[in-house]
Amino acid sequence: METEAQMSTENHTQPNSLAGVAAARVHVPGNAPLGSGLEARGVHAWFGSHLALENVSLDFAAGTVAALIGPSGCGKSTFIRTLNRMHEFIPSAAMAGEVLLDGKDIYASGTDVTRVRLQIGMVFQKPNPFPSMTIGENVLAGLKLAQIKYDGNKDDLMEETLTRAGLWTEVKDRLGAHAGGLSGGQQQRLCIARSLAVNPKVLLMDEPCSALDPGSTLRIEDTISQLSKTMTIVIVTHNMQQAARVSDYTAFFLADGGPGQMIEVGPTSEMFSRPKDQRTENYVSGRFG
Amino acid sequence: MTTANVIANTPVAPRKPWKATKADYIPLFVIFVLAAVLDIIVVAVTPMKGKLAYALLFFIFASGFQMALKWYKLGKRAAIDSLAGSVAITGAIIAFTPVASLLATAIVKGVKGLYPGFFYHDMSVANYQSPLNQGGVIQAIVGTLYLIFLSTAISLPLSVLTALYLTEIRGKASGFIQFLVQAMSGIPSVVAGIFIYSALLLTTSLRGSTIMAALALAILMIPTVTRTAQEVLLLVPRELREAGLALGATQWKTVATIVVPAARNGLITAVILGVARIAGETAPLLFTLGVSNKINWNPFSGGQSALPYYVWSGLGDGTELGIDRAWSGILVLLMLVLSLFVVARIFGTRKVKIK
Amino acid sequence: MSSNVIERVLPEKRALINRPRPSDIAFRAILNVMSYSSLLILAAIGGFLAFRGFGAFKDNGFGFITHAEWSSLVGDDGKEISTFGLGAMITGTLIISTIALFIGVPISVLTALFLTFYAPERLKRTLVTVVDLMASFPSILYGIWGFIVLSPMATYWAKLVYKFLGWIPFLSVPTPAFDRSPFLAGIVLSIMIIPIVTSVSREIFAQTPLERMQAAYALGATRWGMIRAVALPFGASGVVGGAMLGLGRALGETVAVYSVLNIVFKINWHILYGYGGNIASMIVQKFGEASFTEKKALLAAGFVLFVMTLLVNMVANTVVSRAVKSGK
Repeated sequence: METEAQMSTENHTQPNSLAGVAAARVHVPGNAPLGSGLEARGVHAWFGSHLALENVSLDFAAGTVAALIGPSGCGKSTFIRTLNRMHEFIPSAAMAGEVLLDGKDIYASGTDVTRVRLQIGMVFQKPNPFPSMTIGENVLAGLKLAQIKYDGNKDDLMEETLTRAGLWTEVKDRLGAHAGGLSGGQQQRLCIARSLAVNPKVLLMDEPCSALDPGSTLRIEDTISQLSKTMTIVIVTHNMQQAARVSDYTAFFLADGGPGQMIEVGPTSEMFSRPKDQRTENYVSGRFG
Repeated sequence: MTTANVIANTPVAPRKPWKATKADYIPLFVIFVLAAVLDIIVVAVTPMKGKLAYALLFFIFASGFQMALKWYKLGKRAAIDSLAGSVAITGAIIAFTPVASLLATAIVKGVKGLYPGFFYHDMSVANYQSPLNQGGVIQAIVGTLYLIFLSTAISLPLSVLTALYLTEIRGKASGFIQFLVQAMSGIPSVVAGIFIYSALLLTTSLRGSTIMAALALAILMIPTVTRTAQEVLLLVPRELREAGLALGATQWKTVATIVVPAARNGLITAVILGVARIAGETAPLLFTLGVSNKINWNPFSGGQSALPYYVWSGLGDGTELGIDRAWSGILVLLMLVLSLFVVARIFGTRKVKIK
Repeated sequence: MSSNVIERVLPEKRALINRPRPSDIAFRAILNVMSYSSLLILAAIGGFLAFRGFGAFKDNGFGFITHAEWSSLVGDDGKEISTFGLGAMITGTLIISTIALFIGVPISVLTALFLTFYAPERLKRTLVTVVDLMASFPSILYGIWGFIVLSPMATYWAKLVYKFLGWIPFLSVPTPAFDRSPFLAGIVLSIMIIPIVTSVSREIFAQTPLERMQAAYALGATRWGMIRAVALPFGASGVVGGAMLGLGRALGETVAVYSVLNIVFKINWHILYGYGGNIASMIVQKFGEASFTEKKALLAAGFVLFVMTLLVNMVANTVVSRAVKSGK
């Protein structure tokens, strides 16, 4: 799928001082029918007057899985939240730069934020199904909230999304049971199914497995691999092995006493075996983090 | 394989692109004007009239236009969201309008009867139908203050000791006591009044007096003071208590010399809130206070006046002058309650003082 | 001695003896006793009222609660003939409290939603202060304001309601006398319970779990969508508790009701029609000129009111604290 990689491959090592600012673009032509994917250009993020994220540019091609790694506090969670306009819920939040979905800036004035979030879904670190709804209702919650008239058969949709999320066989007989009775891993897969039901183009995942046991983690990683065939996935993880397992591309973030920055990005295999930046090498080989 | 472009470090300005700009408010302004105009037209043309008509029509037009605008720009979902927002705002406006009216009426109508002598004459030289520049409320003011003083004296020890039991000792009965205190806060004021009456006045030769009323008011005060005192005592950090005990002090010394002084501001707040609770109570007084139209310094015998009772009598009098006096009395009472409220706020924001 | 299994021999646990100093023994004893004062007071209230009012219960039997007549006459032989029945007043209490809840709870919930999810921070803090202020207004202020300011407006509204909805039985009136009706009393009471219901509701809504709200927004929900899917289900039980606290307040309200309502001791289901009463205001009205027997009957009525409000408040407090704790 990556036969026509048109990238100039200049090796450019980041100088040790952070005075300069680097922007890196990785473009991989993916599945054309999925559109041009998601692109962040020069994204900065503030909390009040504190600059938390500085000048991140990333191009997430359709049909790929990108992992964002880095030590805690480096801004990767903040970054991912700028991608679906969740960052702005914090009262002191501000940003700069653009985030383009299919070529259109999602921060442009007059944009329907709720529509953006339908197209760019998110799965959170702590599974958060709606406890007042049944499993089936949870899956369809997105449709109900967005008041989308679903033309097809809702039961089929439930089955399809739960299957894609890897949960169908476990819950198909108890769709009417309350969501609170599921285990952590099952709840997280339910949340994934819920996000899938509204048919997003991009799925953002903010450390989706960090609250789960290893067995559930592997199931979800399986799911991610399956999902990436039809959508773009961006996953924040502090587990490097996970990043190595699931992602096509990895971006390394670091906040070295200052604002968080993206230090390096590249195909996952290269990032872990032959990283170009010394700091990436240090992190990946476990010397800190 | 990466492409890296080095971009010069030009400072970038933070933006909040999601915030409504001034331009976004223009449609809202236009909608309001349009709604108001339509409102006036409709009221002039149809048989609808009165404040209710204006308000209702304005709400319908303004929220309707807003809904339509949102539907046009963003679809059905946004329209319903906008309607919900309009309803919520309207609900809040309905909730707060009476407050404004209560205060405004009290001020406008009460000011009439206020003259300097109002504050140092009593009602032995006038009655409720006398012109407003005669007589006054000094007896009511003193009576209320007297009641406050006595009620506090009775309820404060009980409340603080109960609160201390709940926070310092935390014995097995704590849950039960807590439940009881909460239950006590629901006692209607009239019940407190008739209780004292039934216990002390019905079958004895005792008559209504200040101390009787103070007992009734104390019953109402205790739950409020206890609850607030408990909250502020819990705010005192555990480390302070541990420091005292680690120095070898007994528990009671620790509590008396460290914990209580640390919570001093909060305890003052608790008392003030309790006082604010009872200062305006009328019903208990009707059964326990007796009557008087001048100051009575003897708390154990003879009736007493009080601000709520003064208002009550004016209202019951029914004449225009009587009601005017009632408003003036209410205004004085309001000033008292509001100042207590403000003082409680000031002390409340500095609840725990760690020296 | 060698064995495959190494046994762990633990020493015996030492008793931790804490002999408190005499001053502390006294301290704890005093606190213990003092804290039971609340039990004592509650028991005393119930006890005295029941004890004094016992005669009325005995003479009228169960009819004391259900019978709708309250009269005390002096017969030809100079003896007192009295029938005491609270039926009318209990019904009246429930009617005006229901009106108060019907009007006050929706407004309070809307206000709480507005304050928690719509209002900007500064406005919210100001309005929360105003709500607390409202709670501290003396009830006689509500009474006199209700009588002077609200009464004409309420009469007008009652006429409107009658005009459009008068075909509903309890909204019709035998004669067009709309002044000083249970409707007016209910409106005044609803305003009086707004502070407490709003405060409790607001505190509950403020605890809506952030992650659930984020889940809704991340699915593309609008603010109202989030409120409907997350905040309302979460806060429902707390709001119910708050409404019950408001009910408790409304049940026992005296002077405000007395000032605006035309107190007559007959059951009145026509809420727009100008008379009614509740137990508290009845006690106040009759007490001044009551005979000894009647006074005791009034005390018995007070006992009934005491039990009613106590039960409602106990249940309300349990509901609220459970809602706050469980954080469903």
